[in-house]
Amino acid sequence: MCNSFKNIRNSCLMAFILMLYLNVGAQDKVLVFPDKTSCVSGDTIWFSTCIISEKDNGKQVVQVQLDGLNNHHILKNLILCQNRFGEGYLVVPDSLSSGNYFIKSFIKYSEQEGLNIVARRPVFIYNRFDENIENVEKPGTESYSEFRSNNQLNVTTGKNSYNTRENVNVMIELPPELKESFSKLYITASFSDQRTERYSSEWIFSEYSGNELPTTVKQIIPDGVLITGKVTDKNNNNPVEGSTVLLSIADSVPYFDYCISDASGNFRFYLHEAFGKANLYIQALDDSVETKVSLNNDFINTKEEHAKEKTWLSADEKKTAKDIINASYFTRLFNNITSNSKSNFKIAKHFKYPFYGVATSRVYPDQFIDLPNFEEISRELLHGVLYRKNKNEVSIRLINNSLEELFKHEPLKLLNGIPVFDPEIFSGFGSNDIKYIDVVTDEKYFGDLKFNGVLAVFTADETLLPENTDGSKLFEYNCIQYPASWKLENKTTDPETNSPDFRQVYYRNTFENYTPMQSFSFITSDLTGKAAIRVVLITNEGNVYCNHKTIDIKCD
Amino acid sequence: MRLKFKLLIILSLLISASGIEAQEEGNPWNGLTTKSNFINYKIPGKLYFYQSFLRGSEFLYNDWNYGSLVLENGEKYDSLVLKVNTFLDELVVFNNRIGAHIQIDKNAVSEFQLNFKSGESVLFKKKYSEKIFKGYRYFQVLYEGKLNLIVWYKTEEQLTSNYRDALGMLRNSELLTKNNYYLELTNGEIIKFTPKRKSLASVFPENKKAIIKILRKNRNYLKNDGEIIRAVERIESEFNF
Repeated sequence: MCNSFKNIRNSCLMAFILMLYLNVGAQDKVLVFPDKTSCVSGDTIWFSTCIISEKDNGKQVVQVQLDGLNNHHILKNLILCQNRFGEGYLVVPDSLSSGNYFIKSFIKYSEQEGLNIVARRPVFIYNRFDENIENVEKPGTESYSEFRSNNQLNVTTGKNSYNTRENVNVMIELPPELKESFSKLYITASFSDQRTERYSSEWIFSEYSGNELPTTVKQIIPDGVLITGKVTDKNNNNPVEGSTVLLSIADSVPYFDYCISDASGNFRFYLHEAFGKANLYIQALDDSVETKVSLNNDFINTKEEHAKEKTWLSADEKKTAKDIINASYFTRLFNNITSNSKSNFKIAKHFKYPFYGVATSRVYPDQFIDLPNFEEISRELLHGVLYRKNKNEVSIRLINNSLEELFKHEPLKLLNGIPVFDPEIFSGFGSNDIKYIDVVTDEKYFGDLKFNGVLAVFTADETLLPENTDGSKLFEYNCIQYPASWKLENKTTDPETNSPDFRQVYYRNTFENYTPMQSFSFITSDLTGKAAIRVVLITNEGNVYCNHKTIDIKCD
Repeated sequence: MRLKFKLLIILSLLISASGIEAQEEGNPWNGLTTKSNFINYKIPGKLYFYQSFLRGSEFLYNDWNYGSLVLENGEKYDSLVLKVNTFLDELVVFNNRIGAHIQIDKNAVSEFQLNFKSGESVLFKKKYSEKIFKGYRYFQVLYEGKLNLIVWYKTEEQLTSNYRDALGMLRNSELLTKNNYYLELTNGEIIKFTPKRKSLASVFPENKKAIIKILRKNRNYLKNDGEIIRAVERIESEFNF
């Protein structure tokens, strides 16, 4: 690694200074600022996002997706931005082959069509098992946005060449004319892959293509997840119109919603402030056909394909690539890699009671004498519930409180919050199997759905759900990424310690207040080569100023 | 024989009418169209049943009015057909897509507004008090500032001289609606007052005399909603809350 220091030149002090001036126009853009320009498969790319828009929308969900050069979708994350800004991360799949990729970002929901565009930021990913990378394909340079150089931000360090595990003091000088319009300052310092370093200030803007997204949704608070899907005929895959599609999420206060499929079989649901991985139970009900339900992946395509250029790596570039791959390998080997992905699902609970309202009665069977089956439980404990077994056919009817007579039809039956339509499903449940039962003896409504009373059984085993079929399925769905701070403070490293330090990112921070001279420091790792200190300043008007300084790191 | 046959038919009809129907399968909500789709949280409620034949009305306004509704999660529904039942203190919506009168679940409502044909509108907000009344009530907001002037309309059954109702039945009670005025202070406390100078001034014990003096000087007798609103505005401007 020490060999790379031979190529250090003083001219790298200010590798380039760029000002990216973005005119605030009618089109809203989302810019992503990753903490590195290249990484190894399996690594995590942290990024901050900034919405360039005429108005401050308060909360706004943006989609950040990782794509191959030709619209090949790899993964996506939804980031909740507060007052135009957000932070998040992408965990790069382990199986990706070496090559150039794009981090695409765009506003997930817009009020009007055609106002949003996709911003793309190139990133190079090395496959961790690639031992000898000879050449790479990269997007043609003709499609990149042009930037004007500017000297607005001044980045200085005590010296230009540092040893491994040495403290680096950095001073950022901000121009006084930006004091009034200052909004946010992002600073990152990381090991630099010089071949890809120019990516840190390059952007490609393009329009959406296809009808998948953006989703034009009016009158919603844009802080949630729009889940879209399709109902088809199981036998011929034709779209099914008029199917009642139910969305349920099992919980102590179960979530429930419905949508009637349109002529193309499409349906959609909106989950407010839903974070993490959700287990969505979706049922498509239709009397005339056997249904099959599927969810859309909601990736977005961009219009143009990129002209690709094949470039051959120089000996130094090959060595840097090998160093980066090895560093990632050793970091995994010596450090405990903990997953950032908090997967527990959480949704904002604005309503104290479930969708069926306050239960007329709630019964805890374990507070009574042990009863062997649901027939006994309903007879002994559930007032207003008529459970009948006639020639092996079970029926359940509830009393209608208002009319003081039995409902003529089955009530809405819920098993841990999931609607079930077979009255026999509860038959085997005894007192020990049931946590509690909610009985609602009113004609209830939820939007346009009418329920002839509600019988909700919550079992002791909370994971119990109805069986999956083609028309009723449990889906895992990634909602908004849990808010995660990308802040990475300076790490104190004992110079005498024997444990290796192969950190590639040394420092990440965000500053929300204007300070003419912003200083910070970080300690270099055992990696030798070049390190980049990148500064991004965003103004209230949506102007983005970038600067960048490269320093050398060598073995002492 | 004929009699036995007739009895058998009657018996079978009775059994079929009272017996449990076979379990329905498929889609119990068959027939709904995409007009039932809303991206918002759906309005929860139960079938509205209450009907009184007493003299007077259980509704604040007898006509159905268009209005808007804001749910607890901040989502808004416009162009609803609404009525306020002040006997039950409940909001009723007419759902014309399914032809049902639905009593909206109060737990899900944050506020609603009725828009009259005249162009005027009235705003109601759900408020909670532990001290004065336990639970939630719908209040009409007469004035919103640092101090909020709110009124709770309550219809009650009261004894009266005998009369015959619309069905010809003899009755001795009727429905009467009373206006109950409250002030919501800056700390969220809700205090009841009657539309009299002393009562209003008593809400602010430290400034009671001064308030009475101001109201007297302004010749404000709190005779109607307009005068009460003006009084609250004046109190708000004169004293620092």
